[in-house]
Amino acid sequence: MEISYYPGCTLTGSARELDESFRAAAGKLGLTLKELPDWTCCGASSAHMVDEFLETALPASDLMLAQQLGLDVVAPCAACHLRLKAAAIKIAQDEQLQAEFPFKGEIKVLSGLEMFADEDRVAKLRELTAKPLQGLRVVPYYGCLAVRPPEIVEPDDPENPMQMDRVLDALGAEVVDWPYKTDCCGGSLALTRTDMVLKLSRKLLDMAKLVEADAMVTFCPMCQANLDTRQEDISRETGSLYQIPVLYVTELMGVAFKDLRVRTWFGKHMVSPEKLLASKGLI
Amino acid sequence: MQQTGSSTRSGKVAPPSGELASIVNQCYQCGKCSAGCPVAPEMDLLPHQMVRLAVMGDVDRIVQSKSIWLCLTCHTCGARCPNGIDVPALLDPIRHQILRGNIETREPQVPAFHNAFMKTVRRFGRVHELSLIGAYKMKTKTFFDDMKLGWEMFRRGKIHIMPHSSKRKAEVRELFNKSSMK
Ligand code: SF4
Ligand code: SF4
Repeated sequence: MEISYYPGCTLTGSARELDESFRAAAGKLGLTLKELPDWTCCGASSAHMVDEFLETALPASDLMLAQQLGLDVVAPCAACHLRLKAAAIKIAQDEQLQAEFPFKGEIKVLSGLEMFADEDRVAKLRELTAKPLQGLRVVPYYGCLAVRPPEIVEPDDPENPMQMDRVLDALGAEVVDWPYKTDCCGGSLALTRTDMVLKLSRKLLDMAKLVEADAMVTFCPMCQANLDTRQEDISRETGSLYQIPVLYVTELMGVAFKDLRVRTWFGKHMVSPEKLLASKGLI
Repeated sequence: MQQTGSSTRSGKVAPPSGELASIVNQCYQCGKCSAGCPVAPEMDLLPHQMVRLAVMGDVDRIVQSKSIWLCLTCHTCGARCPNGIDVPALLDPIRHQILRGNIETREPQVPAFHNAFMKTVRRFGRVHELSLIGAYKMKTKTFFDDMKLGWEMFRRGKIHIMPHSSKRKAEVRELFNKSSMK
């Protein structure tokens, strides 16, 4: 099956390991990803702050590329997915925008989770798992934009989403229930109010520690970057050690599928998950 | 499409109008938005207070608050509000007017970041993280914050020296020309 692929800027930069592990996992499932030719930035968390037209126009131009290919489009980054989907909805409601971007809405905009959490694919993930992630206690962390605004993102449940839980369960991991699945890590103010973001991230990390999770798992590149890169600062500020690996779901698929590239991906993390996974006999 | 209309007390920033106003006017001050807001402890105006001020047409106080830039756009308020009021949807048109009107604000580093972000998109069609961080740090004179982190990320291949620009960047430039960010 063919799906068009919108990696977005972050996946070509600081979230390269998400791009590579996503492509690898999709390939394993028999999905052919066609990268949108010459895609451009969706405007992410900034366009809506500065200009109403650009908020829709930037992602709309990418929707037009997907429409030309005639394929559903998947955007692994939660922010890209939200922007593309919000643009599709706005175009459908606004004649002026429709005249400029004749997007017919016949193709679907999928989130990475939605693509993998489909019932048949979860069964396939289970089948493909050569190295079940036994004994690995993980907390699924969805963050904000994977579930909100619910009327745009359309998650299975905005307060207690289960898509990632199901995927992790199929891979054989021990999915730990915790209360902060969809709490905000503060990512959008990472550079501008780092002090505030450290507090919000610390709250999540503390809870992960309290429920004795070995690792946090996410699909959002902003959450991952934020939680992974700030643990050293938080350790320094608090005087206690924070060293919880923050993994992408698709990286764990790589572990379960015995993909040898996992070590390259893990090399990009600030808090390396290698020691943990080796101690559980998983790599 | 514009959600703003009549003038405010200062005459500089217009309160919500049209469809947005009719949604915001439903607020009955239950406070659920503020109860779940992750940055409420840092805010000088709480989400439900901003909504109330908007209903009263007193947007000036929102403009002068820190809260307008501290809102993380996490949409927790909107997902939980019994009347479907999403605070960032209320704030966005006010933010646009602040930027367009060059109105002085608290927490100016936040709009400086978003401006720097949009400028790299205008230039390359995509975001180049190094140019973005450089431009932001020049603007806010925060050169030495996070230097060590930056180096560690570079070492891990997370930051690229050269921008990847899109072949469609001219098209993106056209879109910017039609916006307030010419
Ligand atoms: S949750 Fe909604 S109705 Fe309640 S105070 Fe906030 S905006 Fe008003
Ligand atoms: S969107 Fe803004 S106001 Fe609403 S809960 Fe999040 S930070 Fe608070």
